[in-house]
Amino acid sequence: MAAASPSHPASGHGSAVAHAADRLAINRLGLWLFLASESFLFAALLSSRYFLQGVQRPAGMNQPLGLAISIVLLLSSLTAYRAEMAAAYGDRARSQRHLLATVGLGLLFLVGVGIEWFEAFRHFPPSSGFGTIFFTTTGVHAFHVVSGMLLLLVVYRLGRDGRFTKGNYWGVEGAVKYWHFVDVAWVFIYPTLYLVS
Amino acid sequence: MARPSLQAKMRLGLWVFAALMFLEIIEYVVGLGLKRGAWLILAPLAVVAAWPIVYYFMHIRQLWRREEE
Repeated sequence: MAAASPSHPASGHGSAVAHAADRLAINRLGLWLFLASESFLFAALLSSRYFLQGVQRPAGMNQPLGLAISIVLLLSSLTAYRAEMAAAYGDRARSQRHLLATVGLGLLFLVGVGIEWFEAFRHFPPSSGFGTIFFTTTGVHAFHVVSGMLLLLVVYRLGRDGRFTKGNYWGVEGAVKYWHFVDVAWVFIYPTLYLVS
Repeated sequence: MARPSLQAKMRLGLWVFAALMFLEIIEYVVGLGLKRGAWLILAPLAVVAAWPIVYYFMHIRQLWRREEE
């Protein structure tokens, strides 16, 4: 890991570039530490499923829907990655398009979760053991999806105003990294809630 | 080392997505096909599926390799 160094020359273009690189490295480390702390939250939720329910899977899980929303979220990670890469290469129009596509796919995912919740209320209500785990875990995750969408919309708005350039796109990178983390969390949630038996 | 083109990066993203789709479908088949012990396969599969996202999409290498900035 690169750390901030106070030993850069006090003047000149080289100093400014080094300072920007240090700043970016610190930003990245800070975000990764935040994501690590978030992963403990999901780890606690997922472990509660095994602790309280073992590996029993209730009847009534909508398996095709679970797979479909998983694929939608993975697809949103692809569009988010493309938005970041386009920003990194200075293709602002493409970056903006992919940011919007990511938000749209996030919305589609939430619709799928909504349908799943509607069905789940009948099969395993929140008052049941599995229902408590299911609604808490998917609810916390859906909250992260919503916050990620809001973040991406803020970045989209800033991008429209031309705030990001080829060498300065931390806003896009940070929001997209958060979005990928939401996807990684789902990669573990999906088998834990839907498939384990 | 020459920087890969944007098109190459986009293609890489597609390959990663295809691999992730493949893994999700395997998880689905294993989860519904096995009546017992599916978690023994699903747990490592989830780790395998998470890694390409962390490595290729989240660029975890940037933490220790500054040239990727």
